[in-house]
Amino acid sequence: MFIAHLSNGQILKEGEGITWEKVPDGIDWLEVMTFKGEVLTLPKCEEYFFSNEDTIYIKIGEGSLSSPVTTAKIVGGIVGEKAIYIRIETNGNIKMEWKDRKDLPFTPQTYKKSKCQL
Amino acid sequence: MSIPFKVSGAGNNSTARNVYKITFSTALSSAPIYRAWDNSKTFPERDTEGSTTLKEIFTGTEGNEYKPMLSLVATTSEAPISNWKPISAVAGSANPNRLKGSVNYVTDPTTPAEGEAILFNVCLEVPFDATVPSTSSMNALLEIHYSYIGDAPTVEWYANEGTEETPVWTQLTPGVHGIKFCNANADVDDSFTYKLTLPIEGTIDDGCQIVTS
Repeated sequence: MFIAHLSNGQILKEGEGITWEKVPDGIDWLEVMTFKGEVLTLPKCEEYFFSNEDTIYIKIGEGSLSSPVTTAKIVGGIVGEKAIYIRIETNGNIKMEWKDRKDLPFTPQTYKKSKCQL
Repeated sequence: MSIPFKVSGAGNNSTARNVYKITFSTALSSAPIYRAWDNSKTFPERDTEGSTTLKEIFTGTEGNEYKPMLSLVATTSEAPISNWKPISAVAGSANPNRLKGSVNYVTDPTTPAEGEAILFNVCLEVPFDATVPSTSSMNALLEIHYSYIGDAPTVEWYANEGTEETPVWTQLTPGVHGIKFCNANADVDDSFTYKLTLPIEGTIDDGCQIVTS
């Protein structure tokens, strides 16, 4: 679950009708809650991104199609041409890595400007 | 139309685009990724890191030079060449690619918008020295990972039982329908014929793929 602190003082939490799609530009800082309940605070960045990741699978051979399962939340921020990329998995793993901005896979709508970029 | 049926255009040596289709009711935020695992535990739990592609379908045999046997081509943007099965697995993402966990996988060339779909085809290369009986060693999970920033999409998986020119998309039901690789002459009305016979030497591609219940 993300917790977006906006420059106007508003706090938007994922759930109850709030999705990342509805978060406007002007984020002051961003937090994310892991599936274990810990809260991570991202460093100040120029832009932020967030996505839910689900997985559907089919068993080949013996078995059948699954229903979609949430497998991870992906969150991060961008400074210049570098991005911090955090993958929080439902199985408890948290992976953090630096990526080049050009290697991020997301659509433009996924990126939200920080208040310093307005 | 009814299940079971043979999937139209499935396997290698096919230029079909309309083989398998997955639809998304809301827009995605990145291109879907296709991976395969031999996970023996209940998804999404996994065995210890690095031990989830140990089955023969991923390790291969001497007969196929120890290559992953399951391949996938994303056909959302264009039809593949007929002999699309890669000679070898490509590290990371490639289209097409042989599938082995997060080592060798395929990224769809598109990011579906609301109501759009992805298309793909799969094939299984079985060498003459594969383990017999091979049921367990050939079992695998084919996963599609997708991400979104709005409401979670409703995801539906279809297989084509029509033709390439006039697809008839039949939806697979979670918990009910799966896929089996069988000999080309398998009779969909006789499940005892749902088998894949090993070649005397060399390798074979799957003769047909049957959606089963």
